Amino acid sequence: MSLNLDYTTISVQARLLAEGEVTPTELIEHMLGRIELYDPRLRSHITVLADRARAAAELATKRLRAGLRVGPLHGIPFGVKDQLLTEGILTTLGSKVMADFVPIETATVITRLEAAGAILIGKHNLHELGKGGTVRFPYGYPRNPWNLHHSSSSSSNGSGVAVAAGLNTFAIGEDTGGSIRGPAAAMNLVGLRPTYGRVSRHGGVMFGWMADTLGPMTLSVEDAALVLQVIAGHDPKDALSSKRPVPDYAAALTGDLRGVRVGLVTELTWVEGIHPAVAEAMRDSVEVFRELGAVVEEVSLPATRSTGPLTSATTDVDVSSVAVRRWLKDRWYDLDIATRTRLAAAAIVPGSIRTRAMRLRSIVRQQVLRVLERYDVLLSPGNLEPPTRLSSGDADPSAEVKSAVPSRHTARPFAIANTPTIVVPAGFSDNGLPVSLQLAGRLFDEPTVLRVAHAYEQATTWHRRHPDLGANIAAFTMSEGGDKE
Amino acid sequence: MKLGVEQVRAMAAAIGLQVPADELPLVAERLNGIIAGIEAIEQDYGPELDYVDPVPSVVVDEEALR
Repeated sequence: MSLNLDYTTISVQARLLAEGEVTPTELIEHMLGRIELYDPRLRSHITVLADRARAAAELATKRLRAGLRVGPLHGIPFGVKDQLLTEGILTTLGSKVMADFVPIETATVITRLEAAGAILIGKHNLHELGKGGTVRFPYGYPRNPWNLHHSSSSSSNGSGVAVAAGLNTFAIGEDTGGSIRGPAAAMNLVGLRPTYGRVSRHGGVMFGWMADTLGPMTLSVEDAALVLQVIAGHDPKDALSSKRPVPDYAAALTGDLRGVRVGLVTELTWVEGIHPAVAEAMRDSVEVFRELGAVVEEVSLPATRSTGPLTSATTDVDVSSVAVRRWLKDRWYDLDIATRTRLAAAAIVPGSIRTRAMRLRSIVRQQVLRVLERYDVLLSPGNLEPPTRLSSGDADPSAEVKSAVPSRHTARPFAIANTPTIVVPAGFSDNGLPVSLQLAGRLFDEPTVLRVAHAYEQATTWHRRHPDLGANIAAFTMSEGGDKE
Repeated sequence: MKLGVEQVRAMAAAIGLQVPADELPLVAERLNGIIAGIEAIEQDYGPELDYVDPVPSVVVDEEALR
């Protein structure tokens, strides 16, 4: 095999596999080789399933030789945030409190992906319990491959690192308030938060029950469509999954945006603190959308300015309702200081305040959905700034707790509205760090969100850039910067 | 309104949670941050909040819940 498989997408790998240019075994060995070479520094995986993946790849190779392709993802390597249950395989939630937990069942999304031929290669590092803000990572800090001194963002960060570094072809992340989209934005990936109910939550550890959503993290919009096609649809094991038919997502990627109405959200874009590179990317994106035939207008969503405390006062309270009994009472010091103090505070939020916060969530949702009656998608930055530089590992943990709560100004409103929302690469800062844009659509209208994102992606080249891992790791190793491990 | 450390200790004790003394200030700071955030929202949306239902934005399949 002399092909360069680095950073190849699902669609490219599927073609190479179908044409016999590469075998599933060669593809898995390629990924395992990269994991072995780079992951000791990047720390994207908690568990690497080398033997299991090799066995699956061997079977997939035999089947292909016999002319059998079991599904659209036959032979494609993927990983999952270690928040998803895997029968007989360690599932840690990135926490010492789950360090020995081996489930007896497997998450539905994994079952569906494997039935479509994909090969699970590993389970990814994450913010503790999948809820963000972790200061001390029990399995090491997942390093942003674009610059290892900079943040890899919120809780699905290990999954983002694995894909951005070309260690997995795609990943499944989980988004409560922005945790798929944050890492995607920080590492030049596509990250899709589907409509709540579109993808089964069964077998995910989803204590933030009313917002936790599973979705793909990929190198292209087409790949996100391919993965969503496999994982979407009703699951009898998840009573809150929708019975709506699953449309053909790839068929929506027409490239045609004529007549599409794009609303640029003022309160999420032209705000104090927006980085010049992000502002430039947003201005440029408006031009791109207009050149593609879309109508772009600015729209106002005033309630989106007020979403800051809503996660703490609602979904964190839901998580704490489990955490108090299981861990906070007896295993306080086994949790990270940020996790334990955050959940302790959430556990004693007065009920009346929680209900007021729930009422505001309704107002935010109503505003978003009302505006979406006039616009096909809403446009905003994926994040207001490129990934920030990490503080030194010697810093006072209390001070770090205060600074570690990720800014989710642009992500949170659409998690609250539970709209399908995607992040797409949109440029780079002067120092080579990714910036992105975000598109949100009507409930269950993933086809339009994917269509608009795909057209933008194909009209630009940002998604084709990938980090120089060797150089970036060498620079990090030679420096004396703080190591957050 | 800002809650003090002793008040936060008592609130935690009400649910059987003993927060170590050296971390009570951090828990108090976080809780006060949440309360202050909601108070700020009340300034803008207080009356409106009284007239909207606090419904989670989930898709419920009622048959499946039976």
